[in-house]
Amino acid sequence: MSKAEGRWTVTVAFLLRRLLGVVVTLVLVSVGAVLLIELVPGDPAVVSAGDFATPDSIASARHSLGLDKPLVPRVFSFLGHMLTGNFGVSANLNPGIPVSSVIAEALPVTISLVLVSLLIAIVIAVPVGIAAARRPGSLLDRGLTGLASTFLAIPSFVVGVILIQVLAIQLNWFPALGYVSISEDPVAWLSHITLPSLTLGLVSASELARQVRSAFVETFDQDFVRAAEGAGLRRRTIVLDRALRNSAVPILTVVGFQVARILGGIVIVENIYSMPGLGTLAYNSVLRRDLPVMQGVIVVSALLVVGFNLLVDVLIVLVTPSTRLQHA
Amino acid sequence: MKCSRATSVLVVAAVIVIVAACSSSASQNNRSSGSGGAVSLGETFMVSQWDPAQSVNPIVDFPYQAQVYDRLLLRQSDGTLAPMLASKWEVAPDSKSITLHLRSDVTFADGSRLNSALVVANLKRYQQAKTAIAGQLANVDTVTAVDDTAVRLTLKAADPLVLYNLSWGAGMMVGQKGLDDPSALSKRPDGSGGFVLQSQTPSAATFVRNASYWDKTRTYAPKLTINNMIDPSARVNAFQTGEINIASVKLGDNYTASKALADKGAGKLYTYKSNAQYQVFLNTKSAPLDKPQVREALSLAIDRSQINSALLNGQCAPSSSIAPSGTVGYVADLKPVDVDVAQAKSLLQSAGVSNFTMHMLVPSSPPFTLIAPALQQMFGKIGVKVELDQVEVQSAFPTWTQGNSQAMLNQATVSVPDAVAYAENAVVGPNSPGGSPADITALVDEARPLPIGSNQRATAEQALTKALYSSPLHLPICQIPSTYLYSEAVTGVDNLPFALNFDAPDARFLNSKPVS
Repeated sequence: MSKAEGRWTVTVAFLLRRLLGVVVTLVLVSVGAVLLIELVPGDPAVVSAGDFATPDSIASARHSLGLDKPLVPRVFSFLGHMLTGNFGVSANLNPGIPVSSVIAEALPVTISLVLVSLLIAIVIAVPVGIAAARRPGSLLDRGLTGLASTFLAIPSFVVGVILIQVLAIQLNWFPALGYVSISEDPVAWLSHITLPSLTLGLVSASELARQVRSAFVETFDQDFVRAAEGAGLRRRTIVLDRALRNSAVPILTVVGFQVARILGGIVIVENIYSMPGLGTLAYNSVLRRDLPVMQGVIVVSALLVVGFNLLVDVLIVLVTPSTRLQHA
Repeated sequence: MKCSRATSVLVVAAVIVIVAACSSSASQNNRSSGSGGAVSLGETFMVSQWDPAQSVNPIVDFPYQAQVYDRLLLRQSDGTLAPMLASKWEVAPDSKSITLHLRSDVTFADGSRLNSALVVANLKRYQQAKTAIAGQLANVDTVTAVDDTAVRLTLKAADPLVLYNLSWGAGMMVGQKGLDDPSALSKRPDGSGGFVLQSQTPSAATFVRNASYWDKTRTYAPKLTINNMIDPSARVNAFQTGEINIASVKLGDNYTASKALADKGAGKLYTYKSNAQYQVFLNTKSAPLDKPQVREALSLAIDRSQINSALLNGQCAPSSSIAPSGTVGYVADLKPVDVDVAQAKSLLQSAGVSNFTMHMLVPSSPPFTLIAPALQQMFGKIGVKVELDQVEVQSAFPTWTQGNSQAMLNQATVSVPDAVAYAENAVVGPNSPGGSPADITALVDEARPLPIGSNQRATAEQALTKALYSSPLHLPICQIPSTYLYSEAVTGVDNLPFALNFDAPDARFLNSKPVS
């Protein structure tokens, strides 16, 4: 077997193992979604039946939610339907509308928000982390690290409120809320997505910057960097062509964690900015006890997180030498 | 070379941000200055669907559905009824039937015309619905077409209040195509209202004026957008940036921020004293709450003025009467009960009650979470220990009506500004799991069939109000305001039907002067 074939085999095996992990995670999350409903206080059927409910309408709601069946068959039924993307119909947020349609409408908003927030985090964190790592312990390093720690300590909703007050209300540079689809108006989309993405991205950038700094400090201390410097290579070439590749794995790993962090923040941020994404949908479904939508949002959110992390794993494979990959 | 590439990137990034910001400023300026009459309202919830028969939460859907669906009768902003799709109506002397005479010039979005057969089909469909709307016609026995333009409703028991239900949910008329295809109707309305649904996103519904609308006596806004903004602060922010020009305002920080804007001339506030009241519901089946002296003692322990001034921005007028001002049955002489701890303790002693612990359901959202601890402290002063059981807002009433709780702090909302309507809901109806004494039930039964607007009815309802004032079943606290923050350009804020009832208004009469 040639070196290329060997690397290919190792790569495929690595990714298949990760994919199996994704499937197992999703199954566990789905089971958790069904079990979680059992822990919710009160009777979901009573709330789902809405105002002025009668015993008949409550019984009807209980039946359509599947709550009249025992737990174990309900779990298997949910798993089976989930494989076909069938989460049932919305109980009272959008009665009669398939949950998959309701989620499909919200998903582009959240994906936009997550991607732009991540982009902002990376664009800020990488240069800041590298600048801090170039001279560890210097005034610049301490200043940037301190700034990152400060932003890390501030809750995202506080950042959001400040951005709205200053950039939207006082300066009128951006809208205070809402969302416009990129297909409808790309410029309006960018205008509406900027503040919410900054709200989430700045906090993620802080954590990422610290990780970038640590990774580069370690890399800059390596013999090959000193050798490259001694050979007269430019700093920029050393950083971008050599050090970045070696620091990429821990940085990419933290980027994967940031996706989960950003997704965790969307409930508050989407509500502050009145964006009709998954976060608002999650909040409304809990408020209105729309169980099918709650379960659908839980599973889709988990899918987003594991999906992004699988993507990160693919990127890691691309930058990781095959010997390290074999050991992984 | 190195510098120019980095510089290029920075320049491109700066251009993108500037274009985005300018686009935002321009569009906001257009929204507030060049829109020529467009109204943009910030509300709390989004419509769940367009078929009134399938609405699980009709109060939530009403502000949206009301723009595209006319009702048989119009509920005016002062709570009185006026003609709408029914140009006139007659209530039989025994109040056991209602005859509606329909307009002949009404056309629906699908091209079908209003006639008695369509109205009968609509009403029968609502009667058979598996949602709350069926309850609005629970007292209707039969619905028949008298002729092509007249419909008769025969009632099971004399109750002219049915007319009020024909002015909202059960009165909304759907076109023939909508009735034939409920699945399509849930996604796209088929009404005859003053507006037509132009577009809908998960966070806003935009309506445009119906060019062929039958009512030529009023000028309707060319465009009306109702925005879903759950967070009250988001509504105020959106108002300040000009993205909306009218917002519903809640008591608390939201009101304070809105008032600050109004004080500096950045907006105006208009407040309706709605028929809704914050109230402690009591389960009179649960000892010792079955004793009138105990209930009276609890009422005397509540410092309504302090709750209003300290917790509710001074906007929630104290009340001890089931019929606040603006409601049929209102008695001006029935002032809010003054706090009297000594008298309350004496009443408890005479009832033989001491060391009483009361569990009270509390919805887990403001202002209930603010009022509840205050009540806990006030009741504690007379020796009643209160344990607060927080529940989800949506679960509160369903939990309460099961009858296992002793007390509940919540909002007493009536769909009709009428003491009998309140009583049917909270005294003899499902929200009073302990039932009511025979004398109170008799007063309700006596007032119920009397003609709306008659002196007889007003007198009978006042008797009911006085009886429940002197011997309360539940404990009203204060009259909840319905407040709107709006820009100077917006007109019609003082003419919002249903602002008195649900805080879910019909925005059809709002308009906006173009700003030059």
